[in-house]
Amino acid sequence: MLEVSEKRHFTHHLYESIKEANLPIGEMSEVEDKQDLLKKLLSGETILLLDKQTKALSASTKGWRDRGVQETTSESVIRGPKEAFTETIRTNTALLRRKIKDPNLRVEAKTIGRKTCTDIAVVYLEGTAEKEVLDQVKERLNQIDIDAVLESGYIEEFIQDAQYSPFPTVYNSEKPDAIAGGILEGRVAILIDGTPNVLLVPALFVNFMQSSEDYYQRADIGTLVRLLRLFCFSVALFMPSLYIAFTTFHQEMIPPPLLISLASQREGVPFPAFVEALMMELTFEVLREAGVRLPKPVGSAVSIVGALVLGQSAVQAGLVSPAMVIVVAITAISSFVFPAYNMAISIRILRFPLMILAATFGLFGIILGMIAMVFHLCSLQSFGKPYMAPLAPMIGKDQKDVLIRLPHWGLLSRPSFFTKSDQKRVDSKSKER
Amino acid sequence: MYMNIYLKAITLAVCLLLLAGCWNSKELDDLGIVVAVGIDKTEDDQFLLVTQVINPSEIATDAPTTRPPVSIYETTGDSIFEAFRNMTEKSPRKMYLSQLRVLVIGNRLAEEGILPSLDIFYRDHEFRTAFFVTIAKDTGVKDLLKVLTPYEKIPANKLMHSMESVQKSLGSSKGIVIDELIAQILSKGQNPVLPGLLIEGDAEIGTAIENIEKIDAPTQLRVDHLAVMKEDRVIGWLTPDESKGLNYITGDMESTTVSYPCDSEGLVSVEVLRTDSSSKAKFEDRTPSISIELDLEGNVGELNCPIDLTKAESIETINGDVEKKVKQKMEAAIKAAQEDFGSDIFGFGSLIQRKNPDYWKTVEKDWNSHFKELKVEIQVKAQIRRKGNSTQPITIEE
Amino acid sequence: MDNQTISPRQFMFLVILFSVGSSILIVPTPLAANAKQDAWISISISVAIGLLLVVLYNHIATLMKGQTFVQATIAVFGNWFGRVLLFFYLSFLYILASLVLRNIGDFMTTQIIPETPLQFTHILFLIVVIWGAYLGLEAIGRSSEMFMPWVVLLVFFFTITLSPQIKMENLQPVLGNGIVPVVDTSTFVIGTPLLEMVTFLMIIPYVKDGKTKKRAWILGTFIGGAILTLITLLCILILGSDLTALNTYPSYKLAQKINIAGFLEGLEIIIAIIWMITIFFKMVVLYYSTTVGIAQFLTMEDHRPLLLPLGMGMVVLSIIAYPDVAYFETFINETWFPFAITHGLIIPLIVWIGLLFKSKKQNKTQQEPS
Repeated sequence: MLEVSEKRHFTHHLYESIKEANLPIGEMSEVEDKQDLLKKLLSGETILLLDKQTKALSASTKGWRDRGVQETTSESVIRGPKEAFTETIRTNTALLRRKIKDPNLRVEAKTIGRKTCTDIAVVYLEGTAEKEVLDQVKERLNQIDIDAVLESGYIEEFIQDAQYSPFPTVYNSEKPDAIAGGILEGRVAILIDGTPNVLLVPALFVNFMQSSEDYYQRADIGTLVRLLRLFCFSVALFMPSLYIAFTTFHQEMIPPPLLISLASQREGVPFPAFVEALMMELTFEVLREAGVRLPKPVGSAVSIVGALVLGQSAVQAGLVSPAMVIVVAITAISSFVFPAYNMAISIRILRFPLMILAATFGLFGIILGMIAMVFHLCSLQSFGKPYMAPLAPMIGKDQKDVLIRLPHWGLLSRPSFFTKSDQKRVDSKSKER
Repeated sequence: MYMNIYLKAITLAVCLLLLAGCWNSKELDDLGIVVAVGIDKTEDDQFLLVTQVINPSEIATDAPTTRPPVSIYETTGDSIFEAFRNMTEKSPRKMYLSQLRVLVIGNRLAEEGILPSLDIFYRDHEFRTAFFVTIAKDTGVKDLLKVLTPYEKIPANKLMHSMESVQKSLGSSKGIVIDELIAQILSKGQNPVLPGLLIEGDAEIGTAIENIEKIDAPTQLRVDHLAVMKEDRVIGWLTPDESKGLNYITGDMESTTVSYPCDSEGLVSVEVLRTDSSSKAKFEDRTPSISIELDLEGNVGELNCPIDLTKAESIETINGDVEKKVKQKMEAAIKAAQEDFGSDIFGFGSLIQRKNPDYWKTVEKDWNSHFKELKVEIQVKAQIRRKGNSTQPITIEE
Repeated sequence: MDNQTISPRQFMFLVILFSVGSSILIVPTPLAANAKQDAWISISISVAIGLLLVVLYNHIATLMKGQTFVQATIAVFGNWFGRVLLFFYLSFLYILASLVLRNIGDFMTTQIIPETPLQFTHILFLIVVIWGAYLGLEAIGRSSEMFMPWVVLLVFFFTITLSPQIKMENLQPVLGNGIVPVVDTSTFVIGTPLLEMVTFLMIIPYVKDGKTKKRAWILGTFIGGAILTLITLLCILILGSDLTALNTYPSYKLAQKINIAGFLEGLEIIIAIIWMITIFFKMVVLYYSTTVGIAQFLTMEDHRPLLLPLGMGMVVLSIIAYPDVAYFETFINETWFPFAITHGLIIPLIVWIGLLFKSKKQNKTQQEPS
């Protein structure tokens, strides 16, 4: 009897000393129940069981095949880092840590998914990120109870603010520099194991109009590119509907020589302008989707067919007017200008209701559609932040980095709509010579 | 909470609206784009309406055919509006009027009074205000609109451009758009003038496509001088010189030429570059008078008499002669208006109204008769600044 | 009500858009018809009087101590007399809203889409208004910030592009017909839109910050009045008083005269868009105030259930409000001013006096124990 207890005593000492001895393995943890133990074992950890001990030690010795850090495929840039996140969360946190070596950078881990037990990391800068936002992120993440999380899209749909809005209220990117930039502004990043797409909240409308490259090019170029994107935003959204409205309702707005040439192009086109536009837009959407899905060697075939069918044959066969082809082409090109793919999709969706409004009420319909859209945008929030900030509500001192971008020495403070604390960015003396 | 009901109700309403919609939409190929409209009275007191409609596929094409670029439709009706609607019996397309360039008013109507027939052109939402109103001089409106013009495919455009260039560089006529015209007819202190249009050559030949196949088109359209109106009736025509005089006075003269014979044989022609006229009303013992000051700047345009241009005095002489010449034209215009027509086409009445509203109220009713007695002083100041490439006239040394 | 607030700046923008909306279409014609070339003087006089009016409203707003006009009136006059007063006040807002709706409908069907039936234009417009009122005051305020720069930019553009056509002599003779018609006509602009500002007594309790909001209201009225004056002045300067009086929508006719270098014509639609946006904001403010007012009148917690039924009523009211445009012109010239002054001045005055007595009484009861 005494022997047994002594033995137990001994193994306990052994257990404690192993635990205390700081084995050169990261993330040692204790496991107490069997269920947990199995889970850990299955996720690739090493379990150390000692005789006569009710607890087990588990060491994170996970290792699996993964893709190395490669060049980004969906957000290519001319100037700036080309690396992209990978599917492995460890690599991804390391990529972020490499960019921000501040001790305040916090990585909080959790797992979501009853079956997949997907690792999730909430990354933020302690002291810079606003506490309310952080609490909300954690609260919303804790609420999620789902069997599987395979991609960040699963999480995004759970935590986004407006469930029925065409506009995204969560930003995602696969570029470490874009995410690091967001974290430095006081935003919160959510990394999900198994996907290179990292979420960033809060996300405001203007964020989707900006690209990380704006900050790498010189300020004047960055500003002009941003204005160009804003222009393309309106073109991509309104061009087909404006064309319909002008050619079927407000012909007096078209300069006379253009009107005559448009009218002569339309002679013999069998469809009303609206149907013509709808047809062409749909054809284009189909082509685009086909282009994304097809394997690369076949992809070029699609573009040839598309160009020929759209550009040449349809016009020669008299199905559509050449002007309509131009309109659709300009719209399509403009919609590719956005750095954020999910915003581009919402614009493409909204284009169709606007076209219908234009076909029934002309400009009156378009304007009412636009007003309704702006009202909707202004009512949106992203993690408690007004979506249209800093435009509405107008925040004067934050205009320096929205539609225009001042040079880096002029961006003295962080945007105040993300965080009020730790405002200082640049010392105003650093430009003095 | 109520979101669901709202979404359903609003979606339903929007669907209903959109499905029932398209009231106003007209496709471009359903429009008959009207570029010129002619109106007149017929013998039996009906309105005659002539429209010139363009044929878009003939104008914007790489391979022109022999079909004419414009077509003419003609109808009659008890009102102009009715005549427009009657036109649908003849034309395959609905008339689209926003691109109207020229409104041509026939002689008979012009003498009867044009104000009642202008109403539709200002009331209907399709008409814009930027079209010229003109009078067909010595010819029917239909004949005039039927003429095909060389060089410019659309005759109405040719008319508009001619009117603009005549006003810009000759000054013997001026275009007037509908709202100015209505404002001037309504104003008691000013009567309007309208430019005239006429056909040179045989009207019948002008309608055929052969007309524009010749280098020297046998039939052409011309912009001619100004018709003087009393209220809304045409009562006579100004000569070219009087028209220029009128434009000098009203400050509408942009550029023109002044030529006169010099002392020995030959002519001096001066290119007037810009003029600045200011008219003022003056009162002496409750009798009004008008003083006009005209500043004129120009170049020597053409010279074929022996004047020594290197001397400052000779420029001075030219200045003096130009002043005299211009003053003559202005006086001629005033004389014609006062004595021949008795119609205040210069807007002197408005000047007096602005200067002395109380006095104006006493003469407002029969201003045109007061106008005949109005004293007008004219001062012209000419400034010849440059003489072009040559320093001297090209002459053979004797 | 939900606790949505707007900033003083947003409030100011709403005041500007409110005073410009719909007045910009209907004001110049009767002004030019009565005051001729001095229309701009009479509109300036009315703006000056309007500023005094706003001072009064501001004072009432202070006495209301964070309550809306409806709540304050019930608090002062009790359930019955207070509600009688409010019945008139709220019906004024409701009728005004339907008239504004009819204005935009008439404008669209006269100038832009003549073949579209009036009621469908109204329904589509009202759906968007209901959408705006549904989203609440915050969204309304923020949207005003989104649209205000465009309105300012386009008014500026409008003025610049038209300035070459200005004929100064159209203004002369100044006061040629004496001062009487000028002062007489100024009542018109006081009725539309200045007395209509009484609507904002429903909005002002939701504006953040106590002091600048008073200034915002006055400044907003001033800027809105200045824009109205500017447009009327441009009408007179370019079209002349005769043509301004002849046109149903002179400011639209004015936009037709924009011609940049001979090729940019037909820009009037763009101007029509701006007018539409301002009218939209006027409508949405009116509609929001009406529904919130009625909700508080009925002591409901949320105004949203009222939006749709009241909207259906409004479509009908806007169609039957007046049979034709000529009737409307007589109505706006003769009936509107007494109607507006009853509801925009007399009722607020009664409430003001009540509020004064109440606050005096409170001061006394506070002082007596000490």
